[in-house]
Formats: sequence, C-alpha cells, structure tokens
Amino acid sequence: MNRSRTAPLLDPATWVDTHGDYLYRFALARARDPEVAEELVQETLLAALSARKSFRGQSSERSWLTAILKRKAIDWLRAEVRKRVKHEPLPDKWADAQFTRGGKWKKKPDEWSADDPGREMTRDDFRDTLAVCLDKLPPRLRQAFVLRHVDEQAADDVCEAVGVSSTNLWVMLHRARLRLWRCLSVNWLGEEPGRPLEGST
Amino acid sequence: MITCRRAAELISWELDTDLPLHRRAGLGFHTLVCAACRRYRRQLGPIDEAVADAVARLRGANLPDETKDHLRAMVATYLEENS
Repeated sequence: MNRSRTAPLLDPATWVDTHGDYLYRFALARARDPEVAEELVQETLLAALSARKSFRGQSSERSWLTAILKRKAIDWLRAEVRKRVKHEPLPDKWADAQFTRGGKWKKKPDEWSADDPGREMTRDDFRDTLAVCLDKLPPRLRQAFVLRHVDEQAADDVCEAVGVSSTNLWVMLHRARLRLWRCLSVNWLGEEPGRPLEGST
Repeated sequence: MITCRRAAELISWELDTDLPLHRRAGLGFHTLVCAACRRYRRQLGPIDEAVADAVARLRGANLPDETKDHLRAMVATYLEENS
C-alpha cells in the first residue's frame, strides 16, 4: 500500500461529523443507555486524539476509531457487571427449580391468552412487559441476552466482558430466555386459567 | 427420550446455533410427543424477535446535535493545544 509510505490519513477535525453517529449507534447497541453511549463516544474521541500519532494507516479511520470504542465498551460492560453482581451461582438454582428431579416441567407452559405477540394490538403490551422483564434479569444474563442480538461481534464482546466461553454463553442465554419467558407468562396477560394441555409428558 | 429440562436447553440453543443432527432429531421427537415443550418452543420465538427489533431501532439513532457541538468543540480545543 502506498499509504504506509506517506503520512497516514487522519482528520480529527471531521471525526464528529463523519463518524459520530456511527460510533454512537455502536455504543448505544452495547450500553443501551444514551447517556452512557455519549460518554463512551467522548472517551473514544479523547483516546483517539492522544493516540493519533500511533495510527499506522493499516485500517480505515473508522475501523480504527471503532476498535478504540470497542475496548471502551468492553471495559464499561465489565465494570457494570462487576458493580451489579459479585458472584452468580453456578449452576443456576432458579433455572433448575423449574424442573422436577426427573427433568419434567414443574409448571407446564400455558397458552398465552393474549395470543400472537406479532399482532398489532398486543405488540406494544408485549414489548412493554418484555422491557420490564429484561430489567428484572440478573445483569450478566441481561447483558448476554441483549448483546446476543447486537451482532456476532458483540457476542464475542460479551464473552470477554462477562468472562465466559461461548458454550457458557449458550447456557446463560438459555437461563435468560427461561426467566424472560416465565416473567412474560405471568405478567403479559398470560396464564389463562384452566386451559388444559394435552399430550404433555 | 430426552427430558423437558434438556429439551428447554436445546430449544434455546437452536436459536443461537445450528444444532448437530442427533440433537435436532432428539428435540424433534421430544416436541412431537410433548405439548408443553412445543408450546415453550413456540413462545420463545417472539421474545427474541422483540429484543432484536428493539436493538434494530437503536441503529437508527443519531448523536444529539448539542452533543455533537460539544464534541466538535472538544476536538478543536484539543487540536489547538496539542498541535
């Protein structure tokens, strides 16, 4: 590449306009809190400014900035998880308690009376309840579950931030879903009484 | 046959990864005869979809204008002081 012979191209004066929204979305998808996301962007720009002499032009300006932000976001996630939870017991007693010793449902899934959550009428209720249920999750499980939907990269990030392997991440996602599902069953117009469940084992 | 506890794990894992054939077969057979796990499987989908939607909506978000002004000023000051 020619560029490596000449001075690498960084133009800090244009960063906010060229990359600001992109970095903000990247941060927001991970932190979910606009204020935190703005702070992460600011920290990223400051770190990039002081490190700009070390930019070698091996990546684009944007991927270089994004890599810095990614580190900041992981640090934030890690601190957040550490702050909110000292130790999460393994195995998850709550998840285990959903099943009998023989591995059957203690309380079998009920039909959701509110019907298909995809339907326009019920969708907003479903989302509101889901938001409440998400907030009730243990922080590690919540981070894992939300980041799972950000992108593949973020799943690696959460493994790193939470300090688990990808296999353990699957276990955490299972526990998160089980809890969310139970919470929704109880709170989202579910639990219609007396609807029999045929053919269950 | 696999237990409901195991089936619930597989139902979650199939949302994250491609299950190996024997696991898929085990889950398929279990849900064929177990209405409870069929229900669980059906009800999990919308949860993931709703969270994915919420995340996708964040992708349309923009940095607020006043924050941009603040950040531009911050960068300009830094460059002035460290040129």
